[in-house]
Amino acid sequence: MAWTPDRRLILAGLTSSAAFPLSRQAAFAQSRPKIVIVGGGFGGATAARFLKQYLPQAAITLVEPQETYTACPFSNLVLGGLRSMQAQRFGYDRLRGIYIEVIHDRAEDIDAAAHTLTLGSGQTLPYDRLVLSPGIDIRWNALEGYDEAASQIMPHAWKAGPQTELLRQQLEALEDGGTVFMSVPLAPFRCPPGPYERASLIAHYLKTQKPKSKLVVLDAKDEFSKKPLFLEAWAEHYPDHLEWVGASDFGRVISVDPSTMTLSTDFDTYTASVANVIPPQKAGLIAERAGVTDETGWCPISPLDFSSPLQPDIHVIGDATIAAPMPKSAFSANLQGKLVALQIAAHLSGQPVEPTVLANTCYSYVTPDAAVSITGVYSNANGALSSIDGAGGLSPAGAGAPVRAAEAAQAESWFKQITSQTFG
Amino acid sequence: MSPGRAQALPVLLAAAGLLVAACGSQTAAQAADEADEAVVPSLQASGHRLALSCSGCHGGASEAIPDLYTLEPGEMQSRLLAYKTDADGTTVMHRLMRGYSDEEIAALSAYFAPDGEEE
Repeated sequence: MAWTPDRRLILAGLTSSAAFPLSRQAAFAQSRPKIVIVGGGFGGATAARFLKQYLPQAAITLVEPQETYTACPFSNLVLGGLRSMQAQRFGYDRLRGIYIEVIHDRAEDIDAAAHTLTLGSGQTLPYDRLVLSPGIDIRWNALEGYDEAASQIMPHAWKAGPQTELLRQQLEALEDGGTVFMSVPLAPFRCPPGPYERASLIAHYLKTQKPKSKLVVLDAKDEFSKKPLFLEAWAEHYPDHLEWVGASDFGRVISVDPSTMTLSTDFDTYTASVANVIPPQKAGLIAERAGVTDETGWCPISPLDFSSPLQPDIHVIGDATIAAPMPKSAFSANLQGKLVALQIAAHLSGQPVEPTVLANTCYSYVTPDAAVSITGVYSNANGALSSIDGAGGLSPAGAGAPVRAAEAAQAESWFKQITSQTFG
Repeated sequence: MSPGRAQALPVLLAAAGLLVAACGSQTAAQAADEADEAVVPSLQASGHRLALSCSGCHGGASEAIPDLYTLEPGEMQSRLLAYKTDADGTTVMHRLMRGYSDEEIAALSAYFAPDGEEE
């Protein structure tokens, strides 16, 4: 039987008070607290579902412009021609089914002092607590020449959806013998190992379908997530189809020109048949409008409850946050969604808000049948998110195919479970 | 959505309705205040908070990752401790469990126990 924690919570509610009762103060202040969540991805949709379970008496509203969510995890398999886009898509009917109000509109502005959010339609939503899970936005023009128009020619595909499909179409149209370039920015960016998983799966596509072609990865860094495991896999599987150029070898791209399909480093200009430019990023724009970003463009948070130290009663979760050493991953966003729901429930019911141990696991495919992983374990006690010594780390180097195949199977299971927990 | 959840929801929402209806009165507020002191040990328990990290992978959605709710409590605890102490272990679970104290592993095992007892 598929016991999920969600279901367990609800069942527990039948026999005891699984849900948090409102505190006396909260009960006097308002009969029905209003909690608004912005962003229906792994962080926001999870937060909405768990808030509904912890606080069934609260009014939970999710604001998400798109009617269908397209998941980033596993979208590199789509680029490699190994998975359909349809398998990446999730809707919100099951959130509506548990009486979460889902509004498909843009969150245009937030008045933190007045505790109101304004939608694209002009409608204003009051809130008692606001959870922002806005993901990332691109820093247009932070890389010279890379603006919104350029992304239609040199796709970033760093938000899954039409950009993913565009890059896939370009790879399919590539003539055998053409060169694909990928530009990778400095950290922080969404999904630290993502560029290298993508490189692996594009290289696999070229090796099997366009064997005279190759991929060149131009990187602004020398070090990257799971580097020894990726280098090992690339040497084994893609010696003729993938070349990685780090910062020390002048791999850092300083400008691009979509009119000539060129990428320039300090010393060279490369002409690409297909160019995947992963640009510098920042927290989703609404975070800036809410006044919860700092000078880095990302959102500082209190580790205990992911509340913003910059504005009252606003919490921020997911890729938009400064939560290192927790990475900007779907796993982290989903976990932060659960944690923020629990802690908001504790706040509103006058219960203590306690620290705990948090974790992260990210799998990356290196071939269609082989994956590697990185894990971390973190404490959010004592006012800081910190890695717990001696825990976490990478899959073993030099492991045989059965170990890599087992992690590929676990990756697939993980995707099923996390999307089930997030979207129902 | 699982059939179990679909059945559970109306009951849960009915309970929520009672709360909402009652919130306007002093009596209800007093009741809620009393409830604060007596209830929700399950959600306040460390096992519940710790388990938030587990359910992103373990939930029975697929076979390559075990469903924790099917394990006997003693079995789960011994398995988690074995992961933690196996210095040569290389799976995701070995690497994760090294970050948990024995007490935290005990709290997790109690939380996932099939009888629903939570600390």
